[in-house]
Amino acid sequence: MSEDSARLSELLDTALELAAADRERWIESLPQEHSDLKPRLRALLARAASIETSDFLGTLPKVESDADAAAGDEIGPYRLIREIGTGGMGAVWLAERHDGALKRNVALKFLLAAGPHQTLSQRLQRERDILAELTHPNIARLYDAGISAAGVPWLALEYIEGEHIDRYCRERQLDVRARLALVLQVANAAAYAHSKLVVHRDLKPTNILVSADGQIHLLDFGIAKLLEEGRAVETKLTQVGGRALTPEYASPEQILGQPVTTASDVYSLGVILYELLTETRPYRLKRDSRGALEDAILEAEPPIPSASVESAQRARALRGDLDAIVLKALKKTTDERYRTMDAFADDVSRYLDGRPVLAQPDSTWYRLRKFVRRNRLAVGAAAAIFLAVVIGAGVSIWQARVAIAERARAEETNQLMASVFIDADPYGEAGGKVAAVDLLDQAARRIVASKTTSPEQRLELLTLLAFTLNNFQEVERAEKIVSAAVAEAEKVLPERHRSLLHARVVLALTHRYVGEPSRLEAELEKLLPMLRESPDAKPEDLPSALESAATMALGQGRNEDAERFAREGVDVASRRFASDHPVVLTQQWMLVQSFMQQRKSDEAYALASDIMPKTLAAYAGNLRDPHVIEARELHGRVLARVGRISEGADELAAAVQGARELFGPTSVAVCYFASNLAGQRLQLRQLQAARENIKESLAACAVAPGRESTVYAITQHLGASIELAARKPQAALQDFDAAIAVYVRAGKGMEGRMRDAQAERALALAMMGDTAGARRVLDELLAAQPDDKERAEYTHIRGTIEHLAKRYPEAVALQEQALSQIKEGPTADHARARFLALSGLSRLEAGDVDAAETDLQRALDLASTLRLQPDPLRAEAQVGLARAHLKHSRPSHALQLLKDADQFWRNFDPENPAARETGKWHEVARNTVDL
Amino acid sequence: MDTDLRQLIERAQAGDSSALDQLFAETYEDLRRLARARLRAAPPVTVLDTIALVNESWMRLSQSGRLRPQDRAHFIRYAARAMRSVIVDYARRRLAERRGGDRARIELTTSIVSDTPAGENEILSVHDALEQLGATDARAAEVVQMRYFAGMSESDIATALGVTERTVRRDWTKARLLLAEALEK
Repeated sequence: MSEDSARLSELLDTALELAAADRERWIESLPQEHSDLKPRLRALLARAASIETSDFLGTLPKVESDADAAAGDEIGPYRLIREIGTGGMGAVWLAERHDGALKRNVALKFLLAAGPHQTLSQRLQRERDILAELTHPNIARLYDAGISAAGVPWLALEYIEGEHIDRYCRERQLDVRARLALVLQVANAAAYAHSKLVVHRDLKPTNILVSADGQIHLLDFGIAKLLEEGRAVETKLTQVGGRALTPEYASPEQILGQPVTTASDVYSLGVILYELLTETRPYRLKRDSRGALEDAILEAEPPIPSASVESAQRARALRGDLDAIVLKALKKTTDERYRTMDAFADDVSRYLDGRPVLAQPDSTWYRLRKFVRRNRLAVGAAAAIFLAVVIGAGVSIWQARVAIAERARAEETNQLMASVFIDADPYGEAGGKVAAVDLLDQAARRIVASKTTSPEQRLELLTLLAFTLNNFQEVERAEKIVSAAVAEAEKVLPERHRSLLHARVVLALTHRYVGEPSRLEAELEKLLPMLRESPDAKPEDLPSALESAATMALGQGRNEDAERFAREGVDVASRRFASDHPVVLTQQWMLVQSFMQQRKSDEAYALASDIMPKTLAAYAGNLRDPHVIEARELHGRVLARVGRISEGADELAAAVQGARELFGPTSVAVCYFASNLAGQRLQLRQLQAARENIKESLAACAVAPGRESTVYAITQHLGASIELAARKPQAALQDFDAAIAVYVRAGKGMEGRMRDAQAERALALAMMGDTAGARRVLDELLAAQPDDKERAEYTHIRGTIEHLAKRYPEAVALQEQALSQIKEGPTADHARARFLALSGLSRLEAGDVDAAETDLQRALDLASTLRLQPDPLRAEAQVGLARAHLKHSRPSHALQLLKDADQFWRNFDPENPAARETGKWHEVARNTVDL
Repeated sequence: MDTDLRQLIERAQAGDSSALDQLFAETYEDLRRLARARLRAAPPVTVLDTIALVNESWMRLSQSGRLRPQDRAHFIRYAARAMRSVIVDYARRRLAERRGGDRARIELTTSIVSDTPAGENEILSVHDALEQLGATDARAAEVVQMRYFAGMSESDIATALGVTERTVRRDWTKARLLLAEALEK
């Protein structure tokens, strides 16, 4: 049967392609195999013509439903008379009371969109009560609300006969003053409602009726919220449910899903006013889509009303005060808008009274500043970035540095630039987003093409442009512009001309940001001597060039050179600027970096402590300034280096937070900073927190510089160390392997880290049972270790392996050796605490209870002095000490320790085998005490 | 797009109704409301027609990053299928009620209930016949699904199915011929 159908279908396809007249002939000519279908074909095709024009199956039949209403139905105390419209939310009916109590017509609105309800929730009832209290001649009363038998919520509202306000104004061709008077009525009514804490949320012309007597009536006040509340209980649509069907009148904060306030109503009324005064919309869209509209609401500035009307007379009427009022109501942020409806109403009536209006027109400077500020966040780390990672597992402390060289000086744009901006008409036709970059591009082209600027002026402008582009991370474009400008200017200006020198400094900067060290070096080689011998160059040029030189030197590992450049920079800057001037401070931080790189920790600490408060002051305490963030990060690392790890971690945490907010959670800055912070937290044994930082750092590093980068590997390594400390050797192993793979590929410079990773990895293996293999790895490492810098740590690991292999005497000996090999320094005690813990545990197993007790007690005391967070090792030490106490019949001492340890495991990792072990011992101690 | 989502879409396309529900729970609610609105004897619902609703829902979902632009056609086709299942369910229930199912009405009078269940019967007959047609001519059946149940325009259908409007019209004619034949039996 289906074969027939398939054949029939195909034949029909062909037949329908033919002209009607030809079909019969075609049927005739069909081959033998299809003769059985001929009758059907004929029958079907006979109707083809009529069916093509018929509406058969064109519409769904109507099927009545319970929710349907009809005239005469009784809903609550009302009886339906006739339908008066379909709102966005459902049908609206004219109704009257059927109990004869009051002769009153109401508009009965079914809230079909809200879905079926059982009863009005308490909240809805409260809302209804609040709305019912709104009694104002210009606000349509809410009389009652309820649920119909079919479960459809309804509202009984004052029935208003009137026209929508836009139509009303248009039909009667009202003049500006008359329209304003109407809007004033709306504003006053809305202000009344606001005083009762009810926000409309959905003001639009269709909600504003004007009755025959010229009175305004606001509909649906607060209904939008009622609806939302209702939905919140019933369906999952709340996430999207709050959005208005048409966002044309929605305020930016509504689009963004932020809390709606009285200022949102002001905005909506502002849009309405705009339309009433100009007969056009404030946002003109090229693409007619909701997305484009939302974008426009959030970002586009509406054209000035007086510029949007055709009639010169109307334009004159609007120019000035009314422009200012309307635009103020339409400001994107509530700060800049009329905060209250009262304020708005006040200004409108001032205008009508002929009194001065309070709204200020936008000055050109204001527009420019705003424009630049909006793009501030795009000003990120145009970076010359180096490594700055502290691995704090006690295995090795490697430190490089982070030099984030970005400058957010966009607001220092000078007058020349301002004029370029103003001419360039940022708002364009589309009223949509304008990329700062495109604007700058326009400006560049304009400057190049201009015949009237002098070569000097031209060079200055282009340099400034390039500098700004740099800040917007358009480094390649910047480089092109400024190098072309320099090449051109060189032909006409003397070599030491200050504008040319300055341009070259900016050129060097772009080389640095683009990452062209060879070009940078070549440029600096020429530039530095020239700058040194040009006393009337711009004062910040030589320091800036020296900064670039220092950064370059650090990147190349030439630490002494870097120090030299930095010192010269400080010297020069101090002579030209006050000692707390940002330029001087920048140079000094550079010097701190070079100290850190050379392990001159004390000098780094002294200088950093001196300039940190000055830096905060120089940027007016603005903790979100990139310079401040960068400084705090460096300061944090300095603190950790001299042993004040906790303070260092605090500073670093603040820097991470700042970087997160300013540059974004996946920025390079977060990649490095969070990694450093994780390292410090590991040293403080704040394992959970460290884990979070690792996660964050990896997410950012994966974006840039990428999963193959060394910083990614280093962070993974760090993460593995943390897992090891958390007694999760399986997880640790994976991360160690990943990190080692990258270290291997990276080759030079990573050998030390790779060895450390291998040593720790071996420990993980040992924890999982393969002590023989672990031992082999450590023996190899120890044999190859050139100096005893890390010997202590490796010996310690070796000893731990023996402990895990249950060869306790050997373990004890190794730990003693390791303890003697610890190098003095600010972090010596951290290592000591760990080694003593293991030493004590090994001694305990070996039977030397007294010595074990001494070691373990010392370990715990140290941990307490250093304020380390409780971690597995400490818990293990506590259990060990407790067991020693038990052996010496001091069960109450033991109990306290075991309680602590048990509690720790329960919070930290209840599934861990050690947790069960500890619980067992806890039981034992409890029982012993009770005896 | 996660693979679960992709699988769900495929299953939904194949008619697995639980996949439909799972996949677009929010959209399903919207479609359900729309279906009911279209079935009511109220003035034509112009506020939201299916394609506008689909567009809205689509934008929501694609903005959440779970769907790619390529999936839009799938989504539209799914929406039509969902509409159909909602409408058919509804018709079945109405039919059962008429035969004396639960009546929990208190205030509404009985006058609104019409006497003959013509609408419900048509819907169910079309549905059955369409199932049969779908076995041999899947695309034509889908065209009917999108036009009759979802009320989509020819151009929307053409875009969603990746064919020309002419093809859609031809399928529409052919399908209607065959359905008319089937319904008369």
